[in-house]
Amino acid sequence: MWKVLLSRFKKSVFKRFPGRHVLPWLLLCVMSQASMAEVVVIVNPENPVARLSREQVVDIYMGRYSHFPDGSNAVPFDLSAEAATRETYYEKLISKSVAQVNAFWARLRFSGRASPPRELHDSDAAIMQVSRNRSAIAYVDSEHVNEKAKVVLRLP
Amino acid sequence: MHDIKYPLGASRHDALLDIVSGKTVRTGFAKPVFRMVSLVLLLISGNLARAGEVSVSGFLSVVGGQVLDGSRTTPFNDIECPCVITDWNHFSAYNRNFSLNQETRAGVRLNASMSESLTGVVQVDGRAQNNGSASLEWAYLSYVPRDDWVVQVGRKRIPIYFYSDFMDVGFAYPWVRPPQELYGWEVNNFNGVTVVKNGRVLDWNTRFSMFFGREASNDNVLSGYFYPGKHPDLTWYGIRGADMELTYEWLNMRAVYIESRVDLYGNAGPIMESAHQRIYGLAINIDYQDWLVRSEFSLFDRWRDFGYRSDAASVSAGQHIGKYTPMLSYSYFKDQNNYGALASFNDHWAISTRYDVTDTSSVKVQYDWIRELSPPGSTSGDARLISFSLDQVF
Repeated sequence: MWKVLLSRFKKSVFKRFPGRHVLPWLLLCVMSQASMAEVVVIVNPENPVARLSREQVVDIYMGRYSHFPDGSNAVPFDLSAEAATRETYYEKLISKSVAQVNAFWARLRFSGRASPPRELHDSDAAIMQVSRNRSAIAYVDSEHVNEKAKVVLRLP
Repeated sequence: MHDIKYPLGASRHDALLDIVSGKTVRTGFAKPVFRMVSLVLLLISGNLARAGEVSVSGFLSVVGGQVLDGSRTTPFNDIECPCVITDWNHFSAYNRNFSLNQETRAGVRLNASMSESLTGVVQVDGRAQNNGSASLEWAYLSYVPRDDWVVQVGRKRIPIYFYSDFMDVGFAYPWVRPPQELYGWEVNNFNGVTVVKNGRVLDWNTRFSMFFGREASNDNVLSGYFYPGKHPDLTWYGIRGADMELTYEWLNMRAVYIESRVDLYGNAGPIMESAHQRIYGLAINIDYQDWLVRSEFSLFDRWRDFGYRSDAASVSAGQHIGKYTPMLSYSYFKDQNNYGALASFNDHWAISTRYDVTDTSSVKVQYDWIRELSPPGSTSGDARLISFSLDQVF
């Protein structure tokens, strides 16, 4: 199927396009980058924190210590619809599967200690939340991040 | 785990009242409990207008098991043997007949935030053992007076063991059940006040709590085992306790101390009045890369008035391998007394595997090998048990 599509694409566009020999390579680069995209942890642009360590993010996301380094409250958010980003995030952050993270939270939740991070639908909702909420901390696929959010940790 | 969030409406509120005050709640609870539930519900409903949402979460564990073989041939406290007691608090036991009714359970927890700092929590559990009739496990108000402080008033678990708070939630731990050498005593819950302080010292996260309260249990199940035919009513009062939990990246440690007075009244009069008890516990858990270690030690000191004390410990190690978590566990229980009764001493090896089916459900299989180390007849005997569970949270 790819071959058919590609040949049609070539026929329609390539022959009129001067840089046609470079384009497939460019496309390949973009695609491979997309599949290996990093997850970034984001906060409100006005939050004074410039950088968070992996351990600090783990503390906030595992309900251990819900504060930024300046002492202000940190409210973490999860992604519900982008299962792949969520999976990648927890794998890169603490080498745990989402099931293991949920098992951990089942303890805190059913012992009345803490509630797991609230779920937001997708990256757009995460960026929106972070741009409006001074205490919010969220994560998105790095290709979705924009100036409405400040990146404090990269998880390549 | 996905919170189901409802905008609060009349119908939801009615459903909540039905669950807690309706026919499903087992009778026989002390009046203060009902008063407390009413109070929590009143506060929840009184704040309906302001409350944004109620979150509902719950769990289900379907557990089945069967004893493969064992040494005891005479019944153990009315249980046909060879047998294994897997939950002393509810007196769940398996023998040669496969059973799904001993440990299967479900629970629903309602969490209503009334304001930024005030939350009401109610949890009702149902057990197959009791034909599914529900029991109120939790009903408390949680107030956050300032950052990192929490005050909880109402009905809660007594945090005797590391897993006390969530031992019904199978999804939260790697085995079919926490080791029965430790888990399970006369009472699980208490009515009282808990004050919690969370903090951070150097690189350690700290949690310190103090709690005070009492618990009455009529026709107590475990006391009935110690005093057959007497149907004892049990009260723990003047409960005072503190626990401290320290967490550093891959290391988690918890220590607990509890003391209280105990009254025990049989149908023919008092068995024990104002007896003193002290409980000590220590748990150390490690999560290092894919490896996990769970360990716990517990000491019940009732030497002065009851004339006995018991200690128990457990160590488990395992590894997360993809969706599998195989574990190898060892535990023991040992008691001593000053009135010449046969002491009981047993140990217990277990091999178990958890498999995460989805992000919120798992299946587990466990093989237990229990050895009687005290004289024959002093415990339920040697036995080998196979069991499985299907655990879900929502």
